[in-house]
Amino acid sequence: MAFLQPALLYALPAVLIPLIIHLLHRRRFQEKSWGAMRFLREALEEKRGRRKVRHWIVLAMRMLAVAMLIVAMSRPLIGGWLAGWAGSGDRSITIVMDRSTSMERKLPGGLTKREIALHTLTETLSQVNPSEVWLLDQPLHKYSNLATQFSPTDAKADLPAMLMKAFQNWTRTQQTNGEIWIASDLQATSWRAEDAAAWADVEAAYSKLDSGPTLRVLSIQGGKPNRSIRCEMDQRQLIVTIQQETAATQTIPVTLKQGDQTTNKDVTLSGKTTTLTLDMPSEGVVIGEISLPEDGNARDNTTHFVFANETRPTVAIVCENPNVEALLSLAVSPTSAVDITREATWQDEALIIWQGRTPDTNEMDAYLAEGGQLLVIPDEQAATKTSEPGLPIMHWSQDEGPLRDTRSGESLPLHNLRTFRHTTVTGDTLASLATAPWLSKENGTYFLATLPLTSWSTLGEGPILLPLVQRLLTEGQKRFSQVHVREAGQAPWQAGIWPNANGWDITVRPVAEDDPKEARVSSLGNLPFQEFAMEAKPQGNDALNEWWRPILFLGLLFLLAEGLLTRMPSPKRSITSAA
Amino acid sequence: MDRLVDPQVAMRLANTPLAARQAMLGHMSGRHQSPHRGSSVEFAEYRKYVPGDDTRRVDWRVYGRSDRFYIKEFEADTNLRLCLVMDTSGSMAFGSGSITKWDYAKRLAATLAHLAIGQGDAAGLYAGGPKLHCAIPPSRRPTHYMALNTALQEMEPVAETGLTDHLHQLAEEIPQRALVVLISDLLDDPNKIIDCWQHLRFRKHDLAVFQISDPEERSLDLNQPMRFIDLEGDDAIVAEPELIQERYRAAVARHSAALQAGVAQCQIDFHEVSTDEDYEQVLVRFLTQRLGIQG
Repeated sequence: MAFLQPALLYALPAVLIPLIIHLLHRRRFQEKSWGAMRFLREALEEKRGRRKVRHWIVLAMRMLAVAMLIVAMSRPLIGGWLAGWAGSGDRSITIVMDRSTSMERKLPGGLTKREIALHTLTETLSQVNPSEVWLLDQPLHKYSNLATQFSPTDAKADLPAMLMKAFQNWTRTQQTNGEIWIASDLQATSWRAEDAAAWADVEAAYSKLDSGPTLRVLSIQGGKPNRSIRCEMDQRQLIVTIQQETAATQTIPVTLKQGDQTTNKDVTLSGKTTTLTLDMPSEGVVIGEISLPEDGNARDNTTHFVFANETRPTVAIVCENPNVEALLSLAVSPTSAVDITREATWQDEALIIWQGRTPDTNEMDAYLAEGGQLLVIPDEQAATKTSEPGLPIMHWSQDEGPLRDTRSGESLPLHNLRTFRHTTVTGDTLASLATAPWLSKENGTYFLATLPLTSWSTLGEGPILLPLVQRLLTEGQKRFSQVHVREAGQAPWQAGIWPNANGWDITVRPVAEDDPKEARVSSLGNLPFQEFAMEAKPQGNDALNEWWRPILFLGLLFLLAEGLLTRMPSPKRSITSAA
Repeated sequence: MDRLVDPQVAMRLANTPLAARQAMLGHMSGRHQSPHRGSSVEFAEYRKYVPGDDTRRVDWRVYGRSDRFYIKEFEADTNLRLCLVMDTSGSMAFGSGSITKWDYAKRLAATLAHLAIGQGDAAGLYAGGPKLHCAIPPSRRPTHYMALNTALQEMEPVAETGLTDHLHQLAEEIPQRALVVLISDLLDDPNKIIDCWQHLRFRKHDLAVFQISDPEERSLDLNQPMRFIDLEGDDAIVAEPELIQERYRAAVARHSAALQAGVAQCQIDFHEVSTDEDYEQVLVRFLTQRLGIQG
């Protein structure tokens, strides 16, 4: 049992007051000489056992009533949000607030998870009266106002990092007696539930604290049904992805805003993920947003886009073999939308395809640092390994990189590709044969182990070469774009379109925020988390689970019992009246 | 006149003689009936003449009518011997009002002694216990009253009651039929007390009992916790009168009922007396009742 006002428990010896009064009362008995002692003895011996028991029960009732009064004034907590609170005035509290986008999801009561958490924390803080309060976010604050401090964001949260920061602050401020309160919806991505290394670090940091703070987790899970929307800009097409929690088929209205024009479009959702492709005007700047109707979370219902006039990309193909050059040129610009040169300036190119050893100049380093893409293919004179039947690609990175799966989730047909001759490449392997890397990346440069020649491999057939080159080209062209997309976080914390001198910045909600998977606190390292699951309504004092009312009521019952026992007629009275 | 006897009361009570309920054995002529035949004017019976009888007592008229010698006998009157038995146990010192039970008892005893001696009867005083012993045999001399009075004045109730043992002893020691007046609060085992009464009755004594009680002692009408200290010892009891009042009164009632059973069984002259009663009225009731049942 914990107490909000434990200092009042020092008054518990007051339960002895009735006993002391009783003893004093006995001492204060008036003395009287008496002759008829035999009648007194007879009267006292009659039912003496029961009377004595009743007498002590009455005394016990009085003492218990006083005890209950003191305990009630100490405001006991049984279970609830602050179970085990051993608080007193010198206890500090660090609040770690998850205010990622998922915390804006509404619960059946109509309030968002963040609002419920803030309400609960505010009420609790006003009750426990800590010595100091730290609000942990970006950056670390001393307590001012929870509601304004923890405004909604479109960013993600990194709970392990925030805890590490809380521990650092604990050490830096030399706290010895306090608690860390974490308010979160336990979204697995925010808690990095699968990142065991991160939690090992947190656990190690916690174990180094001199007197580890109590870690309380105020978890607020569930929520109203929700859909989310996000988009990608691919040349002059807007790729819209709508996610819903169920696989039910339903039609919803989607609002598309382009400049001053707003149009509504009915979209039929089928399955948990639905993808739309909207064609944008081929020229001119298009600024807009696309929105879903209101649902459980208002902050993931809108996504922003900007289409600007893009410059014509330039690709340098520095290659000795004309056949290879022809194949690569075709892959780079199947529609002649790209300027292809045979000399690399290391400035204007979006992509440089280089055969043989690279010059390794400062210009190249600057080019790579600015985001230019460089694909190095082997020199035909280089030492190679051959395999007559052709080696298949055994593994490749399907999540990221130029060989990633398509937007619709389909894999590139690398398993059909055969390599008859290959060189040795180094760096981080992105695709590999059975015994050697096939594509690797080192210092921003991609190294391919084979050539698109029939004597080398079947790469020249196209299904692999084309997306490989086009993805590198798209990535390299981004540095010439007027539109830059990045995740919300740091400043600004909100998603939106932010014009600047060179074009537009678009801040978007992190993809991780759309993942509804929830973490289990018990599986996060070996930290002594005390989790309290909130209900879907604002809870202030209720969350504390205060028991002073029942205990006070119990005290009153004791008093009532004392009164009844005191006034209860003795059994003898009825016998006498019967006689 | 001394302090124990109010002369006015004594004067008023003198008109009502102290009578015995049964024949008394006395050495002196008096106003009380004797079991023997005597020379009073009250005819008793005729009996046949036997040689040796005084011929002067032959009723010649009967001889004239029946030609037989009959002796005419008359009732003998003798004096009464009043034995006052005082209970000197410590409980007699209790008194909630202006007078203790002991003071009240002394007044009764002194007045009765005064009445008895005043009407020519003998009066004696007995009191006994572990720490006190007093035995003044009955005497009808007027100066004897002063001795009784002095003894009563000097006596104080102390220690535990030895009343029952003393009563058994007196039953054996008082040689002739006498009026034994016991003045006590009777705070002892009723069975033991009744045994004493039976013993005294068996010895042909006329037994009268004054049970002196205090109103507060009967009712325990107290409203605050008390430490009750035994007047007959060092024992003390802490109690809240309000809580035990009913049971206390029931105990008193049971004790009284047990004594009443003994009274009926032993046919004794029993008087419950409260110290808040006028002792003159008590004595008037006592004297007149005795006159009414005189044998």
